[in-house]
Amino acid sequence: MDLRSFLLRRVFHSIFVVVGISIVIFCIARLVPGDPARMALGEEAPDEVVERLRQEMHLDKPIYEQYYYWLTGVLRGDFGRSLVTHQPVLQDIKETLPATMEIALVAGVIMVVLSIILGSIAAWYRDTVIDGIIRVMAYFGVAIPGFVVATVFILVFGYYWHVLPVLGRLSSNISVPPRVTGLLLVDSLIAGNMVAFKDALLHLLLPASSVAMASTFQAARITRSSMVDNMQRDFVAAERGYGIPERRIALRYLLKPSLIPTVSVLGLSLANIIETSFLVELIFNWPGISRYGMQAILSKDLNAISGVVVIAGLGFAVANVIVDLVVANLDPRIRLGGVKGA
Amino acid sequence: MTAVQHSKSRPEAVLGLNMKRQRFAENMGKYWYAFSRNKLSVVGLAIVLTIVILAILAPVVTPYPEHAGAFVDYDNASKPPSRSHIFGTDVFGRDIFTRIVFSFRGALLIALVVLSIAVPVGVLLGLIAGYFKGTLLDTVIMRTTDVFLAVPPLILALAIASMLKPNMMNSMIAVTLMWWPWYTRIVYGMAASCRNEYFVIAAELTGASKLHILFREILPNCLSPVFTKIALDVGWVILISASLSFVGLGEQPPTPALGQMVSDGAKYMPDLWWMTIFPALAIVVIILGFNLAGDGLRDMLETGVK
Amino acid sequence: MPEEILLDIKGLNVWYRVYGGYLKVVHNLSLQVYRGERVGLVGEAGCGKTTTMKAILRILPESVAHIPRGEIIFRGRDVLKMNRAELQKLRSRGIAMIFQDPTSALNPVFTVGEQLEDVIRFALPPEERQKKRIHDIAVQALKEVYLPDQERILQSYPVQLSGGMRQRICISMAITTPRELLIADEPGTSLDVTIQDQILRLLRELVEKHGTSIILITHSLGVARQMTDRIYVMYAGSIVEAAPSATLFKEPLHPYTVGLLASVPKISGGGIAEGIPGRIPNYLNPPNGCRFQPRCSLSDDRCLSQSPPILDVGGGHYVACFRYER
Repeated sequence: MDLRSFLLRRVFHSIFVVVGISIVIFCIARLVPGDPARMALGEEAPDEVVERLRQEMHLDKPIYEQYYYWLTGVLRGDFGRSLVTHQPVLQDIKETLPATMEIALVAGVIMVVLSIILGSIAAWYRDTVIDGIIRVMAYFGVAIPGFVVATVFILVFGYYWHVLPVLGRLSSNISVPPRVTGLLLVDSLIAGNMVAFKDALLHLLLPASSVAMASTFQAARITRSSMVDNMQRDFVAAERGYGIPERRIALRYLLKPSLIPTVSVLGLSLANIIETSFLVELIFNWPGISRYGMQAILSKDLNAISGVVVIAGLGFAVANVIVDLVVANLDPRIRLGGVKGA
Repeated sequence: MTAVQHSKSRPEAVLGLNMKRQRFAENMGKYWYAFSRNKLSVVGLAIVLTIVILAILAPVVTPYPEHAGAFVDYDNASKPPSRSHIFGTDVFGRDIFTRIVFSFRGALLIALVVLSIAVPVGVLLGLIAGYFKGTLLDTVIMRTTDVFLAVPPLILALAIASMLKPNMMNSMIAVTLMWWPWYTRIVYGMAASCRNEYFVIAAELTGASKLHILFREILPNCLSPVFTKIALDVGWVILISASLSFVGLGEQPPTPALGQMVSDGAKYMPDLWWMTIFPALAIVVIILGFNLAGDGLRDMLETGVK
Repeated sequence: MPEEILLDIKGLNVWYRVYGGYLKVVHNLSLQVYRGERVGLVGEAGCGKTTTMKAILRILPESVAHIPRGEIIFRGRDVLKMNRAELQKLRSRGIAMIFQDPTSALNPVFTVGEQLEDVIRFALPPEERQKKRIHDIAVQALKEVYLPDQERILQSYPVQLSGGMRQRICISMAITTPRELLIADEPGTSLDVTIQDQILRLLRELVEKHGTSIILITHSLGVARQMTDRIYVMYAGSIVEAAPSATLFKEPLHPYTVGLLASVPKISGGGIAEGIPGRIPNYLNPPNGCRFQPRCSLSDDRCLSQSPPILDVGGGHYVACFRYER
């Protein structure tokens, strides 16, 4: 199995999973008591108008036909209209997704960098006080829910210690850079507006750290144990024995194989990131898709809920393929597995 | 020969089970040694036991059991921690400590219900899919599992809980729906590899029934990782249910729930900080306790007794 | 007999820290290698051969391995007292070790070229570290171990190569630049017999060509007899007998050596080999006296309480057993 067929299989699997999610969410949305057409139009709408909408929405057809219409709509990007914003759901998603991606990206960077650093330090100083401190930090870090971290951050930084901003994406006195990607960090760089870039980054730090916290510590523990494991391997002894300097072994020969389980775990914690960001965006009043989804959930906005869940599943699937790619890139055993030398 | 085939208590199976029991008893000391080798596991176990006992005896051990419901005492409202209210009181004058202890009941109940439904279902599906690996049954079960594994559990639970009525029952249903696939995945891998082991082939050749093979031959060999996962999952189920109640989709007021208390308190920050901080700490401690104890259990089952 | 002592291990002890105490694995071990000499080290699995060899290069895991007593003198300098720079020099110029299992001794996530060229880079003086030169040496090293298609192999990952090729690569790493002492830890034992034979021939050829000294670790007496000038027999962390190879086979003295020789199946037939009853002692609480005593049919009370001294029985033959005291 070469890299291409490996990837193809992963992509195919992801498509299958996303279709599966769409079925699940569609079933839930349709099985909920209540008439979607009536809910969309409100109590006062005359019966014949509701009936016309029922036909437009194919609600008079059997459920598998409804699914067909719904799916073909979704494939064209049509999730229907949101009951809350009265806009097409896709439009809402387009507006809110970049803010969420920004949190996820910064959280991802924090997670990767911090977990590798903490894990390596703990492994290098294993069974010392430093290792012990990191271990205790990790136990707590994993046990503190994201929404608690976010709430505490708001308390500490919002009321007592005004070092970092706690609300919104930009300070009110800073002009928003022209929208290109929707990611403020990227847009402000494109506009060459370093003040806005710095401000946006500062606004991102607390929400992103809240999202990243639990996964960071989990990944740090994995990094530590895989590194300790690799330290006892013969190849490290051999590399030392052949006179390769310790520092080079640590930063090159030990680090790379130890990162493979870390990256795999990061892939698994993507689900965790997505769900933690749901609550964290709510707390930080962040105008992202999670907050939009939460509002949709709380107001039973079925079209919006379906849209958000499908997007979350899609994001999860795409991120997983990326993680697979990174792992395959790090680990030739996966990339070349099965290829025997002649 | 036929008599042996149809007899329910085949001698060798009974013998095997008895020997296992006996060995288990002999090993109890060793198990405890392996578990307690890491002092943190013992701390975790102590936390778990304390919380369980507090939850069971909540009406007896709390100073104001009546505060666990719709109780109002505006004279004592919004009081900071003091000797009579060690964690302070909320805006209705209810004792926070009492409400935390009572909300342990809900948290443990959710974990108990969710796991006692999700685990058997997940394990059973995993066993079947693993044993019938390569058949249509395997494909259907495992592809469904993949789909459920690919949705972030909290989000689907949120969606489900919101479409049903927001209450404790429905949030349990929602979390349960999200939880079984993990067990299916674990057991599937182990059952599929057991499938080709000699003890299974031997049982098939002696004419044992499928039920016997699934539950008496394969299942016992899959249990150790399942127990480990259960121990670690209690913490996660409590976390998810706390998240649900944080956004108002769990236990409804006036019944106390940890997540709900945190979000209620957040409205009165920073002045009434104790309304948020103590329930938040309680969540951390309960999850920490179960995680530590779960780690100890894993050490014990994986490396402890050779 | 060559005169200059290259490596002189005196009374080496290596302990491993474990839960509940120390595993006292290597116990008062002494061993000499002369310049240009081929030395065999023979003993059962788990008797501390590899531990001793790793101690020579100081590549034991520092967090658990502890050396309470002993000296390892290489060319007049004690390896155990070397600083980082001296160690670096010892490892890149003085001694090289060929690991037992080529699969675990090669880093799975780097290409052969990346690993081999790095070994060469740090063995060269800084001013000679040009890419082209390093690459040429790498190709040359692969040629020396008779690997074809060197460029392709350099770009391959270990997982793409066969076990025999990996073992050759391990050897090539040890001979990239000239060393004075080569330690070969059961080379090829994880491979099948024909390839193992090829590997041993290759080693012998390389040693003869470069005039390198070698310590060959093996549990096969036959291999030791073919390949070496002198043999040390190791039991439970100590040397129990040392003699020129031919003498040892003709006239084994220590009960353990006798047992070891008897457990080799003879080509001429004569039933199943005898073997030695019992097993290697518990290193956590090793016997007070002779470590072989629990398995020895000839032991007496003294063996229980005292460690036997190493006795010189003449002709370069040494044995650690009370029975040969005069």
